[in-house]
Amino acid sequence: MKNSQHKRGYQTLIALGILGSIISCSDEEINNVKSVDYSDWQRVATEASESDVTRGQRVIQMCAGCHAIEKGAPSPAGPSLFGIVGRQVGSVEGYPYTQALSNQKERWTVKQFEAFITSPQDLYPGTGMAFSGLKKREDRTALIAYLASTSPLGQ
Amino acid sequence: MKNSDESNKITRRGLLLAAAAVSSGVALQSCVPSPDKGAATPNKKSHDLDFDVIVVGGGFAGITAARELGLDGKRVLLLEARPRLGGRTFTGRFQNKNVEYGGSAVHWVQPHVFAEMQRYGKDFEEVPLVNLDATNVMLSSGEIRRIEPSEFIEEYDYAMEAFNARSKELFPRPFTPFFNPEVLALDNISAAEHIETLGLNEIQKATLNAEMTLYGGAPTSEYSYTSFVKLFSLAAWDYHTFTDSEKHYKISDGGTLGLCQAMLDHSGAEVRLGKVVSMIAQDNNSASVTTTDGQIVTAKSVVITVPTKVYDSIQFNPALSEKKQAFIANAEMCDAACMFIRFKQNLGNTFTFCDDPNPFSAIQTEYFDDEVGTIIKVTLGRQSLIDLNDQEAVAREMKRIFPDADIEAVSNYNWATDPFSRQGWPSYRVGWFSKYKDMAKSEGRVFFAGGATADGWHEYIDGAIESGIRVGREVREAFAQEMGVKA
Repeated sequence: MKNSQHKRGYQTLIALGILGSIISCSDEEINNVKSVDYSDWQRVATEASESDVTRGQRVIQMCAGCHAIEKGAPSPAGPSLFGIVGRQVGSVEGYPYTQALSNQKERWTVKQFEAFITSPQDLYPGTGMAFSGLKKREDRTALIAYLASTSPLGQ
Repeated sequence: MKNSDESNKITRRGLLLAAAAVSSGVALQSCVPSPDKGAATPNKKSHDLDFDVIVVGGGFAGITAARELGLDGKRVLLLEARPRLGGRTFTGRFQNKNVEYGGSAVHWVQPHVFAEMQRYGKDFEEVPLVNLDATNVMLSSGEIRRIEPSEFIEEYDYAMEAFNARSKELFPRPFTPFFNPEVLALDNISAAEHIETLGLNEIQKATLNAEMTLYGGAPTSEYSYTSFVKLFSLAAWDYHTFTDSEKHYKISDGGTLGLCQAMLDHSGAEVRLGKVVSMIAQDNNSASVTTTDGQIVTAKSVVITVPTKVYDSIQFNPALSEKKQAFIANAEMCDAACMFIRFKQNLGNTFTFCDDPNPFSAIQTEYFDDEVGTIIKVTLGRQSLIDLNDQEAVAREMKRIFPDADIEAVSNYNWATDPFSRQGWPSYRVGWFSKYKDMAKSEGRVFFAGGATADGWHEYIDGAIESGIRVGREVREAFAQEMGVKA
């Protein structure tokens, strides 16, 4: 529910015509970026089944058309997925995010990531990600399990 | 020529760094109360506008316009919403290979793209297509007919020749599509209606209807008959040349992206990626473009090249003409997507048509050997018939065509659901081909390009480039006129 409240608030601000500059400058938003808690991803990594990880490896092929997955590999379009686990949203240095993501201050928690890949445009309207979303829960669970099991934390 | 000294100072590398700096600094910049007006202006100028021309959209139309005007010495800014260049072309990755997820077909009968390839030293790369090992046709009912390639080609050839039988008569000058006014009189005939008159057998009908579904990105009852005949006419009214032009060759040496980059390097334009345009305004003296991050950039002219269905996301002040608004609302409907699949087995060189409403309109082998297995490219005219992100659904559908093949990997690009295209290639709805020039007509300081506005190969890369050349000329003439008037 927190996400949807956040989204509603965000949309209201836009509807009022207040620029993104004001949102990103509020103290409340900036104070959210303090300590990083990876326990949600760590929990998934511990509990993920082998079949989920295997399925996730297939699912992530759909991301690889645009996103690099391995460290240092170039991305044809999206930001690298290497180290996305727990990373702050819209924070890969030098990457030309649209305003929809560049102004976000939260990080990719499991919950936030799942909401995004379910329907990217609904979570962050105006995102440049062309992907329309994984509608099956098994696919989302599998992708999250794969990332949690293979992606290093805090990079 | 008067800006040539200044232009020379702006190296492409410098601009890329500047663009990266602008992009990575967005969060900080957005904390500054005033937008970055003037901050990124590369040169001093007697007037106080940020640029001479702002080009909206970094596909082939926009890049061509930027190149045309940049070479004229204009200070050009190119804004692109996506994190990449290329628009509805996209050189992406699949199974460690570069693949084209969007427009890719090029040929020497497409004069604009061929000229650019020649100019920047780009060669052709063949996809297998010739010497097919196996061909399949899925009928509308879902039944599969596995027929010999020779029979497949003979039947499809017959159907295409029949569909386009009047091509030379209707389009004696294909780049002047209404030279024969009968074309306008036939504007309300759909591809489906025309197919019904041809007396085709089941294979002929299924292959032709699948192809037309693909070109229309919609049921053939919605697709303009004559707009396709124009494309056929552009290939010298010849079936073999047409087929060769649409399925056989792509750009080597970096693909479509390599050509985009070469053209943009040549332009000297400043490029800003990740910039989503929300408003375009103009008055007597200047035009301005506002992006969703609150920045405003000003120029003498704006060239807009976004896909027709994206116009709805931009506010125009003053509003666009009623004719344009009508075209934007009605003229296009292409529901297309592209998918690559790798099979474990080597299936050889295959081609399959699946007639509507089966989702995988055309399936073509891209790569095959015993080590890799087979990589196929699936082009869907109607992506909404299946959830392409549901791999089980994709596998079930694929089993109907290749029952013994095991899928190793799947990847797709869904142009219809991409917020920055909202459609596949430009295809005209029945009744709207006659009105495409409404979309090309400049309105004050705002100029319009994009494949849909092309006289020739409007569903192709060639049409996008043609429109960029045309709009470059229009802006050049407008500048000259303004200078003359002021002098």
